[in-house]
Amino acid sequence: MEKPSPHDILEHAFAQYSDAIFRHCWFRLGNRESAKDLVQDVFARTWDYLMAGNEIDNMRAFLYRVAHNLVVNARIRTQPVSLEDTIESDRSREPSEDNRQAAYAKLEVEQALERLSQVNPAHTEVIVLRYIDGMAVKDIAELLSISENAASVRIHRALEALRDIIPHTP
Amino acid sequence: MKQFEELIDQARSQTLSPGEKTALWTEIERHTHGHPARIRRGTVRRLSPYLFSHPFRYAAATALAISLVLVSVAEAALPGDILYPVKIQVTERIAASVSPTPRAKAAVQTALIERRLKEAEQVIERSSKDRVPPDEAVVAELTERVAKHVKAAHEKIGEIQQEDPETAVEASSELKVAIGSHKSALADIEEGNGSEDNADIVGLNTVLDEAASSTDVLQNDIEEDLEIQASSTVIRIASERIERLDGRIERAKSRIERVGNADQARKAARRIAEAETLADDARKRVSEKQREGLMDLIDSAESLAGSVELLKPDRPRNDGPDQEKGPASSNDIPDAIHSSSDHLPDSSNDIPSLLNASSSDTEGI
Repeated sequence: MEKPSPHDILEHAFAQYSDAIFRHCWFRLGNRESAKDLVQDVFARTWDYLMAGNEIDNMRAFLYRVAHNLVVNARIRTQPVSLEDTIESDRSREPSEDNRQAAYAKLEVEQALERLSQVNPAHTEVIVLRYIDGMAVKDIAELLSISENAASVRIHRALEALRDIIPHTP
Repeated sequence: MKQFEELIDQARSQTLSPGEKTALWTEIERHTHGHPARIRRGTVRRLSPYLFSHPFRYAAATALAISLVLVSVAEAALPGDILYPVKIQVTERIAASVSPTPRAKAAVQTALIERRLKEAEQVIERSSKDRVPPDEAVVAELTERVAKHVKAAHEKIGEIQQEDPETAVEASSELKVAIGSHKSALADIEEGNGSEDNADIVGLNTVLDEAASSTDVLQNDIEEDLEIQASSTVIRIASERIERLDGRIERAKSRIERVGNADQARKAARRIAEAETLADDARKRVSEKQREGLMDLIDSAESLAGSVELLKPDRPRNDGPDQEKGPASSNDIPDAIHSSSDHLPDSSNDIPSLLNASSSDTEGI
């Protein structure tokens, strides 16, 4: 069987994983547009890697690793948005509504993002990897270059932190 | 934990829209065209160790050594020197022909323009030292070559523009800088030598002026292209979003009918009216191709419609006699914060309990 061309490999990877990588970036950054920029960067870098004559055995793991590194870089460059700022921006859009009530009543994914972003970034990272990307603890450990035990502990602590943020979380 | 589960469930269902996917893939493909394969280390065949075992090995080795010496000495040759044709016909032709992409070819042409202009500067300086006017034929040849390289560079930049206008802007800027800096250098030399009246130098200057202005025109053309591309992308995305927004406003309207509390319903109706006004304004801007502030308008309208969509319906649709009763008392409106989980679709059966998941994650700690 003829070996697929790098273009075919990239196209197939895009069709298969672009949504997952987008979700990962979106939930880590909390901004849809920045997430789309990152998805573009992830696949562009993957192309450059293939063009340098390298081969990729596990495309999914490779894409997540590139995305993870880009998110970390993007985080360093951008300032975090506080809950107060979020409520303040809601107030400017909906002047007559009680701020906090409006913030919580808008129970959409954006709200979930805002809440998750209140968790320590390292906690958000493992929550996204474990529950949104559906990664196994072993894969998370490998991606973050930590032991499986350390990954489990981090997930456990992240869930504890999350319980303080989301109402009715036992 | 149900609320968190539902949030995660919602989150997992988020995807790129088909339009977003197409736009992203177009950009990625553009990147792939601009970044072809690099030569891999080890893929270039090495010279055979048996090459020089041929009976004529000494002759071959000598010829190769002479060629290398000639080529390297020719690099410093000026027009009129014996080795100048070697420089022009061998080394520069090879450099131009092995450039793999239009971007690299444009860069080579820019480098060649710089070389010719540097040579012109050296010829003028040398003649000034000898207190003789520069050789007219030499300057004319250099002028002609500069014009030829400018034309070739423009052609290559035009090719790049078809594929990647941003890179084309980069290439034309390089060309502009090269021409501009050598124009100033030539002017300084002329001023120092008092050679403004020399017809051949004036000819070279005229070619440079024309090159600078035609490169300007080319760059403006590419930048306009870029602007049009960016503008049409924003307008297309905005149109798609307005279409979705209309659906959202309709859903929000139907939600108002099911809100029992009159105060809440009034507030919701006002928000819907506001969202409709913003959507109309956005539609108008799309038709007029005005992209400034367009996405902000749609964001605000979506936010307003979204907040109404999320209101808790405290009575079923078409509930007949109940609607006649008027608004429910304020006691009937649960706190939005605590009720938010109740009005979401129950999908807890679809995803494993996060509590269970978390305990399994942390097993063995």
